[in-house]
Amino acid sequence: MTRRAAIAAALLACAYAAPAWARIPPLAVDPVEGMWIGGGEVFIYQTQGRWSVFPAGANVNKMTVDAQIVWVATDDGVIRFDSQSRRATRITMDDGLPSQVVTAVAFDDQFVWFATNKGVARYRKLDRTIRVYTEKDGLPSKVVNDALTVGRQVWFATREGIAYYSPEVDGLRGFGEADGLAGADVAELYQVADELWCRTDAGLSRFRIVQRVFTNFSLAMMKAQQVRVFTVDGTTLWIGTDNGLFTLNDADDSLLRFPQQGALHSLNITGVEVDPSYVYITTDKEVAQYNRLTQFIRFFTITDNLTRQDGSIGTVLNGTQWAVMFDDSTAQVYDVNLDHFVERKLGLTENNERKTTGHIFGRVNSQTPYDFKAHQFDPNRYDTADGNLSFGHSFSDDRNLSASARLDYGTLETKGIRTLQYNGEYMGAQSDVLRDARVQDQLKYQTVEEGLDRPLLLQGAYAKVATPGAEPKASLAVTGGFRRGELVRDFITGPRQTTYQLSRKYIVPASERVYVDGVQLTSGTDYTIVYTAGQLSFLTPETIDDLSVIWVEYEADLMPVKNLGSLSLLDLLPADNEVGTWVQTGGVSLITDQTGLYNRIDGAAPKYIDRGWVSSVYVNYSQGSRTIQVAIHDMGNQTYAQAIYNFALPAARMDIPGLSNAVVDMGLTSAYAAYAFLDHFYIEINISAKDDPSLTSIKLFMNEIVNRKSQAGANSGDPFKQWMVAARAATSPVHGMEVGVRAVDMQNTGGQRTPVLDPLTGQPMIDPSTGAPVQKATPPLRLLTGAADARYQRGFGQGGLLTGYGEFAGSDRLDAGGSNGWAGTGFVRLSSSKLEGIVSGRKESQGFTALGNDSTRFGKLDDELRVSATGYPVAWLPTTVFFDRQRSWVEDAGGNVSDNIGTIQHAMARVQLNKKGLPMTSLQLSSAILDNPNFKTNRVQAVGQMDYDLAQIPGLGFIKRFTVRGLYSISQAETDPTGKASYLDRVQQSRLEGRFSPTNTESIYALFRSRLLEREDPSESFVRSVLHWELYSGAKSTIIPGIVPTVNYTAIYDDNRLSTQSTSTSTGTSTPAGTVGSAAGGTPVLAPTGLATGMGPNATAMTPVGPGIVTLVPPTRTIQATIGGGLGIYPGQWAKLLSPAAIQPTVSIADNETAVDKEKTQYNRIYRFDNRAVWASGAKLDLELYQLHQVSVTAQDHHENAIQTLLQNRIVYRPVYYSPITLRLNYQDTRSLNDATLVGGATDSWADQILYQGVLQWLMRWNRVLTTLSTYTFDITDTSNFVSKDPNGLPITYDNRQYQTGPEIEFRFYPLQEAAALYLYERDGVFRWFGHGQGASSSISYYVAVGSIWRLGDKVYLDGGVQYDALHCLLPGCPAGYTSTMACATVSRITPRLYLTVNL
Amino acid sequence: MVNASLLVRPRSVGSGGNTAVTRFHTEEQSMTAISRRTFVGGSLAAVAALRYGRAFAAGEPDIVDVQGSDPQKMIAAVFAALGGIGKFVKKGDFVVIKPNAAFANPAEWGSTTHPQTVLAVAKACLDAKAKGVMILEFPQAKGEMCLKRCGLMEAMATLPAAKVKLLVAASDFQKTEVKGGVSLKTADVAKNLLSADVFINLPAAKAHYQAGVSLGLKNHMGLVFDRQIFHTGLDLHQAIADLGLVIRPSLTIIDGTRALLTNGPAGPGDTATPGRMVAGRRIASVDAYGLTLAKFNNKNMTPADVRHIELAGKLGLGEIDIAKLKVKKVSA
Repeated sequence: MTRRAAIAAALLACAYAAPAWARIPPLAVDPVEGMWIGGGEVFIYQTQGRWSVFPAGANVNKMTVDAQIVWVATDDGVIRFDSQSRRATRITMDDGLPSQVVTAVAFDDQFVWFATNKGVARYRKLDRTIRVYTEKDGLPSKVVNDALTVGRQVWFATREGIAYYSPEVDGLRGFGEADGLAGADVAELYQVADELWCRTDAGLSRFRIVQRVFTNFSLAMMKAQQVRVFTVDGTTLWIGTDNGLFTLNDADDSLLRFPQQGALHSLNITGVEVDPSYVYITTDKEVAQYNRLTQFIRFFTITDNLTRQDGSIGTVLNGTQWAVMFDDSTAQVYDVNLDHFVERKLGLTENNERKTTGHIFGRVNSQTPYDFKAHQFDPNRYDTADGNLSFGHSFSDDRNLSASARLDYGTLETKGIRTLQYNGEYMGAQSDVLRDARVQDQLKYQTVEEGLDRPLLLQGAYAKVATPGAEPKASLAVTGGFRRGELVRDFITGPRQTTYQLSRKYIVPASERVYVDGVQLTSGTDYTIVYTAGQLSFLTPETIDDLSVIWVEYEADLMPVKNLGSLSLLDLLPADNEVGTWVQTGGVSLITDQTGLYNRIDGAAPKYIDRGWVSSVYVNYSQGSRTIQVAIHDMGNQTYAQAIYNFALPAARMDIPGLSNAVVDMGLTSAYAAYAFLDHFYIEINISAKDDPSLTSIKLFMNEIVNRKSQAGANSGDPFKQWMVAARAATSPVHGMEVGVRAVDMQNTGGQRTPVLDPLTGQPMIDPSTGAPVQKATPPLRLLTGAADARYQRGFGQGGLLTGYGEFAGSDRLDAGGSNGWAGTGFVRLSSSKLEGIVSGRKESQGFTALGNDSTRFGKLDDELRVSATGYPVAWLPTTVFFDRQRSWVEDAGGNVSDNIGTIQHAMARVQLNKKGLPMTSLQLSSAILDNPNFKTNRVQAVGQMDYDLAQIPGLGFIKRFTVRGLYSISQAETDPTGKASYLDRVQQSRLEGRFSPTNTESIYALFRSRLLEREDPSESFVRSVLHWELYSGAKSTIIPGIVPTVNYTAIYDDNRLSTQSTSTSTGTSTPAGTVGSAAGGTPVLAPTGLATGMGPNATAMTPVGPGIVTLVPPTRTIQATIGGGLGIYPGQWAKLLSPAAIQPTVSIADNETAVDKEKTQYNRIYRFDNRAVWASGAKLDLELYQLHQVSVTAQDHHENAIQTLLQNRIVYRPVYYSPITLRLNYQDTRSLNDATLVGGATDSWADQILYQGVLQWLMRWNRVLTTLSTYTFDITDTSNFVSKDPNGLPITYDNRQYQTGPEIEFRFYPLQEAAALYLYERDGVFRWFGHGQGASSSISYYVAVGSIWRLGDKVYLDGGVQYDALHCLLPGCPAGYTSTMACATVSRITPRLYLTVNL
Repeated sequence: MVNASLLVRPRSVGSGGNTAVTRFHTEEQSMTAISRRTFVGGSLAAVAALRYGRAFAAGEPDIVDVQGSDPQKMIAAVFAALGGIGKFVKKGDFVVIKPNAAFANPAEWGSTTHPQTVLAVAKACLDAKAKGVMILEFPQAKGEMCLKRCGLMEAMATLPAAKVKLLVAASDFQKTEVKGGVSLKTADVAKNLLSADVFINLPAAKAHYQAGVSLGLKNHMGLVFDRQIFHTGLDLHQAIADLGLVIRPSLTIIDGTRALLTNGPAGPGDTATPGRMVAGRRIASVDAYGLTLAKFNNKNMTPADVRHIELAGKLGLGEIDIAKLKVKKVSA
């Protein structure tokens, strides 16, 4: 059997058996670029232009990528694949796996988890040891089908239910049918926000992880036997079955059949991929693209070069590449930009079985417009280069060496190395003495247990030697290098804010720990940090209140990526892990021609093209299941950018704090969108989910993009240079026990200079003679630490595990002024079926110096005690207690440690009722105490939550589902800064949510929540400070087939009586930066400039929790409300003949009102009606008609200020199928009031602009080699009485008729047999501008463009081209009646563009 | 009172770690609690009654004896007589099939399992929604040559969803303790076998110059790395029987469509076409009954003539007194 035949056979095997088990094909997003795809017995690395195919040796079941390591779960072990050096090593039963059949793989910080049919194997990354978990450890079944990391938990799907591993207690806990799971046999898990979806043999189950509540959607509801495809699209889930396609809305639990199912030729759905513009659908009979905007379904055929469409087994969407996989080891790949399919054969391109591998990857990305008229390069040009060099060698099956380096070179504007990353690793065999050796630019110094020190980040090296064996009796590990990161702690209290500014920027991604009231939260589900900007946002409003104590610990990167240089389209895009854990998925799609834009967004393209569009970039980001699409458009100049921003300004919108030219669209039914303009860029962000985390995320993204140049464009420098050497020797005298000793030598390479603070103001003191801040020099640190640790683990009861750990250390400061000290810490951790928890404690002497940071809110740590336990008196009644007390030596105003003691203490008790059939209820009581010599605050909080399906109540069986969720919390804090009770703050938060589905086809939902913040005044009555409430509601029905009425209502109300000053003050403290611990020499420094005021420790150490000073000001009341209704009509459900037709009229009213002290200061209301009618047959004739009418009303007298009418019609006629002729006829009438200041105060001066547009386009595929696209455009624009400003600021009135007309032609060549190998294009366009009247211009413009995309296997990818644009004004100088020469400006510009990757 | 539901789902019971003994039989679950001392000490009758009682109570025969000429139809009849493939293979199971394909000989020689038999069993497993089907063999000669000559490669090409894997290197095997083994204390057993949820043994019916016959128990030797030591360093018959303690098929089907009567195991030799298949859960019983398929080495053999079958019976791997077996004869 040839290798190719073997691969084909493997793919067929995948096709035959896999649909019931896992997503086809399995895939994993690479954190740097591209995607990894499993295809039978191979795995594929796919980026925009290349597919590298590697052998797996067995069927690939699942994949995941942890940094640069790709983990491939196969039917014959696990492959650990270094994506840089291309070295593969296999982990098998020899290494401790319980089975060769590995069904899934997942990873967290410390471990990689292998799911097998004989249990779960946990692989510890630090020492590569494997531990196996089976039923006796709490797994419901040893046959494990899937594994998924959700936050800090790892979840497993088994044959008898689901289970999760909790690192806090080192144990597993399971849930099964008795807890409400739809079916015991769970094939696959998906994360949707903070929920877990389970695909079981009986249907889908949604599991709310925190509340532990199941909601089931049975297969019977879909009349299906099998769920084949499950695609997450924000909070909408696309479910492909053997009985057609469905959407399930997670927000209102509505399960709808895809309304145009009748247009599809098969019910067997094999693939669904979504992006914000299209849904890509495959069945076993067809390959189709559904336009979400126009509802047009396009069926691809041979005319699109699709050579096969029957029998697809699955799909992958990676940026602009959509791959349809078939069972004969081929894929049909659609390039969205090229609008063309190519066939790919999954033949091996790489042989990772060689002993030695080497790999070079280089990339150049350049676009450099040159202006012949101004004789200069465009300032927005970009020109970057990056590359990898890697090497791998296998000494034997279990001895491997890998090394790689990645260099990213800067732009033309700021030449230089932006970042250099390197990684060298040797992995020895278990029988070797030398087990591991590593050299890394980001090396973690850590031991198995985190004792006195949390992991430190170094640029350095690590080596470990050990006695032979899987569990070595003795080992020695040595680590050394320069400190790369600096550990910082911020403590924040005070009024709740949208975003908290941390004290440092350039945070090392995923290094943070965020605690609220002592409890650690989870990134991505509870909060997001914008790492480069150092901004923290909580994702759900109920996570914190105004009395919460927030503690953030993180590592600040001392060597961040250097300057970004000029602001290109691409530079505006946040990098991976820049905004929380959001990473780019798929490629970046850069579109520079109109054809590409039409292919990308189809019917929406004219909106941009009509407003000076130059180029666009589209990219998707994902975090867990959430996906955000960012589109940035270069509109040529700011006028156009602002024009399209104003045109698209939504009726119902919310401002984004801190940004003046950005809004969030609140009027969408099940999504949020944000719009902004910045210089000549117009920015759009979409997230197809409408919940709190989505709203927060979209704001964070917009903030980061708009501010990116300042956020990520500066280097923080190296605040200190410090190196350390550490050695740890350990022995394991008996199984389960390890004893170790370690020594660490840490030194600063130089002294440190810190500003001296004025004791009165807390501000840096200035030397009057020089005007410079006064600096205090401290001697260089020299620290020697020694520690001994012991760890013991043993089984406990039935399946339980008991772990004990203790550590004792001494520190010796050898530098001048340093002190000596000691510290000890330990914990006992238990996991068992009845009880799980941990008790930990820590004590330090005053002179002890920690390696990292032991600063507290009040000074330096003295001791800490923490107890956390959950008991299960019965399985459905988890009861949790939590206690955390931290005592510190308080710092004085000079930052020196005193003998005073400050205390922070948290206590909490919670009981949950999780019995199937009863209301899922939790009650929680907690208290917090902040006590130091300056002030004392006592806080108590009570939280109650309930979740219940009322349809379970006897007598209500006729209702399908009626779920009610409620939350109420009340917090009260008493603060006495002066030793006596001073004031009392109270916060009440409530949330009530109902979802009512009388039948399968109807859904009604409502969400109401409120937040009331009050302060007790001297008369001992509570005074309202802030009242905020929101209501979201809607209803949907499909009771009449073919008709889908929907209605939505949203209202947001704010009553704010806090003065501006008091609400904007950020409060908190930050730990000393640039110091080790806070012992002598630890003079606090101010946070870097540019941070919110009041962040310095002196300024805030006295600031207690609570809303700060309440100033009674006239109340500002704001209400935003939107009501909308729509009607989807799909006659195809009545008669299949009519299935191409869809009609969708909608009506909406958006209202914005603000009142100050009962007087209305702002009033805006927009009435909008739009309708879309589509006949999308894909045969001879397609028709799309869109109508919009919008009226805006404003001011006290509610007068009209803008009226817009828009008609967009598209007719596609195909005399022969592969030759569509498209006619677009558009009409747009915009009437608006002129700016009163420009028309002498007149308030009734209307401007009117009418646009008639006709575009005729003919796409002709002459033969396999040549395709032409001919376009003729004719525009007429009538403008009357439009008053604006000329560049000199003088009023100018436009009254004219302007014509634009011209032909365009594009030639596309595919000269080689394999269409993907070489693509050439040539485009030409000529336009004539003429007209009459004031403001009309007369000019001729033309462009010529040539380019090519050349692929040499997966070795070379070249996308290059050059375009010449010219515009000649035919009326030179200043036209009559004009005050300036603004009508026309000659342009002559050439733009070469090159994107080249070499992959050898 | 017998709990019939225990029979619904044959399950794998591993004891964990490298010493795991993979068992594929529900009945074996009861055996795990019984030490060898108890067993050998004379509790045979009670234990056998317990185990066999379950099978009888469920109405399942101990042995299915199918007469026919088309291997595909005969395999269908085997499963039908045993209550359906679903009693052995559940949705999501990973199935290993071990035919005899160890010799680079033409199918007509009878030294290998009929390729259509292997194909039929593999297809039945996939129809039962097995997650994966792997056909394992540790060939005596050059692997691809064996597959090609015996016709398995051509047959399995029509069902590429089932994977054929040749065991070639020491790394394909896992050292495994033989708990209760008299002669064989450890064996290097194929990792893929140890990983399986279901194991179906598909031996050919043939004579063997050392072992007397090569049926189900002897076929297991194609799943261990060091076969030579069976012949040189150990009591061959005892070691074969001991191996049955580690390798426990859910089902054994002896392919008696043809039989190699002499010059086994490789042939060429005298052949016959019994046109039968013998199947059952208990491997010693199947082998004992399988002796009736033909006159191997020109002799009508009984279990007493084949010591490894007799020893396997004593180790509790099945009743070998065929008079005590519930036999269901069917035609296909």
